[in-house]
Formats: sequence, C-alpha cells, structure tokens
Amino acid sequence: MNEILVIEDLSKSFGAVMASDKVNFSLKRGEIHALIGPNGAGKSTLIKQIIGEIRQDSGSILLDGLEVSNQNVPTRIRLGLARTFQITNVISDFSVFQNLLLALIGIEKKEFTFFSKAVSNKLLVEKVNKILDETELSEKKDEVAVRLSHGERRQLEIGLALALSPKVILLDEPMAGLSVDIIEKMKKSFMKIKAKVPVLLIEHDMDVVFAIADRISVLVNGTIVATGAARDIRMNREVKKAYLGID
Amino acid sequence: MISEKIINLGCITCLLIFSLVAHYMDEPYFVTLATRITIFAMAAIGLNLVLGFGNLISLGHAAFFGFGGYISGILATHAFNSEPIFEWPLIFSGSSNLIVIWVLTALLCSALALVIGFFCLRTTGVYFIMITLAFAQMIYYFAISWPSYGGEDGLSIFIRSSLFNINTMNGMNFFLICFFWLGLSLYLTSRIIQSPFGLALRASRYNLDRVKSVGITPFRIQLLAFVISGVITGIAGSLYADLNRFVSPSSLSWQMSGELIVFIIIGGVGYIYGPLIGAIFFVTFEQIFGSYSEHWQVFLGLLIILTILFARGGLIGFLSRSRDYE
Repeated sequence: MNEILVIEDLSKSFGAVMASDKVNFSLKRGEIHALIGPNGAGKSTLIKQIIGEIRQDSGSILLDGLEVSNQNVPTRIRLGLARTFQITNVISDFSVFQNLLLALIGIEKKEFTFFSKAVSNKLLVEKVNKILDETELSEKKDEVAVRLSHGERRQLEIGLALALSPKVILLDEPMAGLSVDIIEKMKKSFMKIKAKVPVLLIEHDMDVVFAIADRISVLVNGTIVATGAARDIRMNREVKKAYLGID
Repeated sequence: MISEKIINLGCITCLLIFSLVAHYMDEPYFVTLATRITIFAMAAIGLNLVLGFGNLISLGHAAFFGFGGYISGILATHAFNSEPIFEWPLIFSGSSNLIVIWVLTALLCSALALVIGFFCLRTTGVYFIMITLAFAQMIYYFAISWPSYGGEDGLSIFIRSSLFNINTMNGMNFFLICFFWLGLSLYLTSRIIQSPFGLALRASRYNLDRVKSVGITPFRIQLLAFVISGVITGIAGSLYADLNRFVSPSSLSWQMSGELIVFIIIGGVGYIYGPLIGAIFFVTFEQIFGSYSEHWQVFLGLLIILTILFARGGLIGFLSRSRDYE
C-alpha cells in the first residue's frame, strides 16, 4: 500500500462552526504533501485531530493501515506519528542533548527505567549524537534550549521528530519567523527527510510550498476543495476563489 | 560560589557529628533534636520528589506522614494489647518489629498515594493544591473521629519497637536507624532523578505537551512519582511516631504539609539535599528564636519572604548556582 496516512470522512464541529467537514485526505510514502488554506480554514484543527489532541466527531484516521482514531497522543506517537508545533515547543530548561535524549527515552519505552543514569545508556547516546549530526546541532549539544536562536529551536524540533523514527512527520508552519537563508536550509533538509519519512506540511509561505511539495491540498471552511500537483493547484478556480476572491 | 556537593556533604556530616558529640556529651535532648531533623528531612525529601522535580505542589503530604505514624501506632497498640487487628483470613495481632512496620507502612502508603494521586493528578495548578489538601483533611477528620485509636487525643505507643537485637530506646541507636533511612532516601532520589524516569518527570514539570509528543504519558510518570513520594514520607511518619512514642491527628494536619513545603523552600526547591538543609535550618531556627519568644514564626515568615524574593533556589541555590544532577 502506497498510502501511509489515510483520513476518511473526518468531521469536527465546535458548536455551529464546522472545523472539519468530511475531510478525505491521504499521504503517500516518499512525498511531501502540503495542506494550505486561508486563516481559519481548519488546518490546525485537522492536525490536532490527526495527532490526537482533539477527538473527531466522526470519521477515521488510518496510519499504515491501522486505525488510530481512538488512541491518545502518546500512543499515536509510538505508532509512528511525529509532529512539530506551530510555536516552537521544546523543553526550554533542558539542553539540546537532554531534549533529544527525552525523545529517545519516550520512543524506546525506557521511561520507567529507574536506577541507571539516562546519560549512561550508550545506545541512546549514540542515537542522540546521530540526530545531532543530522540536524547540524552537534556544536550546540550542551546549550540550554532557551538560549538557542529561533532557527536552532526549529532545527531541534525537527530533530525531536526524527528521533522518534516516525512513519509520518507533521510539520505545522515550520518556516514561520525564519530568515530567508534558514528557510533555504530547511527546504533542503525537508527534501532529505522526505526520502526517509513522508511529510505532511502545513505552511503559509507559498513559495516554500510550491517549491517542495509533491502534492498540495487546499482546505477551505473545513473542506478539501482541491488536491493535486503544484501547477494544477495554481490553476484551480476554487483555490483562486478562496485565496484571491476571483470567481 | 560553593560547590553544591560540598554544601551537601557538609550538612549531612555536620548532622552526624552533632548527634555523635551530643551522645558522647550525654545530651539526649540534642540527639532527639538531630533525629527530629533527620525525620523531617526525610519526609520533605519525599515531597520534594513531586514538588521540586515534578512541580506538583501537594498540600496534602501530611496525609502520608500521619498515615505512616498511625500504622506504626496501631500495630504497636495491638501488639501491646494482644488484640487482633483482624481475624480473617488469618489472625493478625499487630507488631512491634520495625521491619514489619516499615513493610506495611510502605505497602499501605503506596496504596493510599495511588488512590489520592489517581484523582488529584487529573488536575493541575491551584486545583491540584486544593484537592490534595481536601484528601488530607478528610483523613485528618477521620482520625479525629475514630475513638478506637485515640481520636482527638492521639494514640500513645507503650511498647518498644524492635529491630534485630538493637535497643531502639537508646536515642543514638534510633538516630542511626533514622540516619540510615535519610541516606537511603537521598540516594534513591539522586538515582531516580538522573534516570530516564527522572528525566521524564523533570520534563513533565516544564512542558506536558512536549512530553506527550515524544510518546510518554505524563500521568503515569507523575502517578508513580507520587506513590514513591508518599512511601518515603509515610516511612518518615512511622519513624516520627516511634521517636515520640505517640501519634496524633496533628501529624495529619495541613500545618504539617505546610511545614514540609517550608523546609523545601528554605533549603531549595528541586535540589536533592534542599529538604535536609531546610529541615536543619528550620529546627535550629525554632530552637534559637523559640527560646526568646513563643511567636518565633513571625521571624520565620520574614525569612520565607526574603527567601522567595532574593533566593528562589533556597539556601543551596543562594550559595551554589548549579544543580548536581544536570
């Protein structure tokens, strides 16, 4: 099966507002699938339903053929979902090394190990060092996260996602607030990541989306109005209407 | 700045030397004082595991301290009267054997902590503080209204507890038993905090969403920490009852919970030896200022205000700026 993440008829309403209205969506192996839409379209609500922070009213979420709709966040993470947050979310008081070590402790189910030092586990430390190299954060290994620049914190978040050896990575506006040169660096890094792990990308920077996404889905008022390759989406009437008000 | 290790080693060595000197100078009052410090420190070490490392501000830890004391008292009372506590499925007539008392205290306190933690850990912040207080107050009023075990007057322990062939009535012997428990609690806390479990607990102190998003369920981590914490504080309560040969509902009161928090704040929140240093300071402060005025808490209040305003890491944080486990 080529599709790793399948969302079927997912609906969620908050009172009279339909945040997700029978959303059907899939993510294929080896692709970056971008989810775009105007503010208030329901992108973040959709991400929160996929990750398990918000429970859907109806519909299902299949990860690698497994129904995960009723699982909580930690279980979904262990089943292969990883995410970054819209606003960078790392443990500010921990060093870069400790942040990554925590991710590995979580995914390796070592959190109930009591009497051995966390930093003495050679296997975990080796893996942390590997992720540090991949995310080019080796030099910042012992830096407390709160002292990192915004871009470095974004890198660390991606490192945390990679440390979980996920089947799917959900990136929620990873380019927000980054400088042009860091964005270029991140684009290259995402292209490398997608070779290993498919990426669901939510991003407002359309240049980035059209440059790196293999497929784009457009969400408007909780409904997917179009899905396709970048050039198809550019020409799509529904998309033009939603973004530019052109009928 | 003084290294945290030197402060820690200095404090624990001073406590041991103080009691040894008092013993050889035939000053049992000071040996008892050192034992009191040791027990209070141990109780606060238990609380510090959740408060200092997990940011779970429990105002109900007196429940475990008093519960441990009552377990000790009830077992000793039945052993003295030879009246069985229960007769089915087997006859159990209490015990004065310290090993039996500690094992039962650990088991029953862990069960109590499991129940209290299961409900309380569904809340956070001020709600957590209030619900832990509510549980402790329930147990406090239950103890007051239970005449079989002394009710409001408390329960006297008439029988001498035994541990192998050690004479536990000897103040120094009992101090050394308590000192062993203090050392064990410090060692366990230190190991736990540096372990993967400790890292997850400390992470849940800062950021629950991040902990969940690496596949860890914070509730389980916090519940287990709460149980370990309850057991440590419970055993300290059991030792305190043995020290005084008496246990009363006051050991279950919210003032007791407050005192444990004060030890931690003065010593240093989130420092392994913080509660020990806080207990040493508190009891010494009480002895010195208490001899001048019965309203010595006025000065204590002033000290707490100064600590919070100018030394948030307590005495250890003020003297040393780093944490050993990091």
